[in-house]
Amino acid sequence: MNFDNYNNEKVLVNALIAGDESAYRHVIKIYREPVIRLCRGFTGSFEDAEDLAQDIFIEVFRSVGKFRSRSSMSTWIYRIAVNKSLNFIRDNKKRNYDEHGKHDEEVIKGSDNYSADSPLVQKEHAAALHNALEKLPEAQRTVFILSKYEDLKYSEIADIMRTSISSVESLLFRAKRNLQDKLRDYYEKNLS
Amino acid sequence: MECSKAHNDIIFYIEGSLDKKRSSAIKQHLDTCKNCSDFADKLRESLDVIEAEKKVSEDNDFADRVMAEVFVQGKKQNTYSLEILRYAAAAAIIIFGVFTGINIARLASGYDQEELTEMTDETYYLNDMYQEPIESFFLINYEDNE
Repeated sequence: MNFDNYNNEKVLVNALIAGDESAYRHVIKIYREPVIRLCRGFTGSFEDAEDLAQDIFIEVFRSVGKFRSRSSMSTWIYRIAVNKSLNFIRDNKKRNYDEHGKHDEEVIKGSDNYSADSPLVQKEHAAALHNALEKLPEAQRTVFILSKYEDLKYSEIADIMRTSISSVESLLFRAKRNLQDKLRDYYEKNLS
Repeated sequence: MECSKAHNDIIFYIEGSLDKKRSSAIKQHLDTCKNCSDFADKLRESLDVIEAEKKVSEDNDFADRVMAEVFVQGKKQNTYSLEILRYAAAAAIIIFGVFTGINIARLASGYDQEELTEMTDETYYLNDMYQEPIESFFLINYEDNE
């Protein structure tokens, strides 16, 4: 079946439930980029983002039978992606703590996906950004990433996070202020 | 303007979301304060990373890798279900065999269920033979042979 011109999400969902491979491929084609972008915002690494995106699509296809069309498919996929990304970060934090006996605030992150010939400054700024993002509370981090990496509207973010638009506005404001403070701390310690 | 006040709003100044009055106040401060101006430059560069990271390169094999995983997991689940069915069938056969064996043994022993129910508690507990039906079975056979 060709889904390129499909208008009815239900048709696509039914095809996914029936295990139609072309429907699977259609979903991957549409959502691969946004899902990887989102995961990169959370993990700071392109390789981790790709692996995580793969797991997210497997989860989407595995649980599509539970999709009740109460929200749009993109909202549902974003929800799975956010949950999986947060779990990935929690697991990583725990692993880093177990392996190094310290929290990963001391582990340099976010610079592994820059090639050897990338300017050092760019690598340092990637590390600074992801270290600061990682220190934000989960809700603030999620709103910031959905807004800045995905360019989603407040109403779309509110749907994904099952909250109000005013909460999203407030969370984003606090996220930016906090990010600024964390970055200032980072610069003072590492880039001064 | 004090540095601490300017610091609060620099991120909003960079993204251009401040009103004109506030924005020009921050700009004036940055023009005169080297520390804050350096911080604003670093902050701008860190935020530029987001734009760079938003670019996702093409990967034609991604869908194939996901498909392979999806179908391998599906097959694994089917194999797993078959395994469970196999074990369930084996367990059912064993249970059936045990019960059949018990019933055959009961029939062969000539053990009279009614007689037992007619007994009082006292006679049951005083007579060991009723508690040892297998021994009783051998004794009866021995008597018959005589």
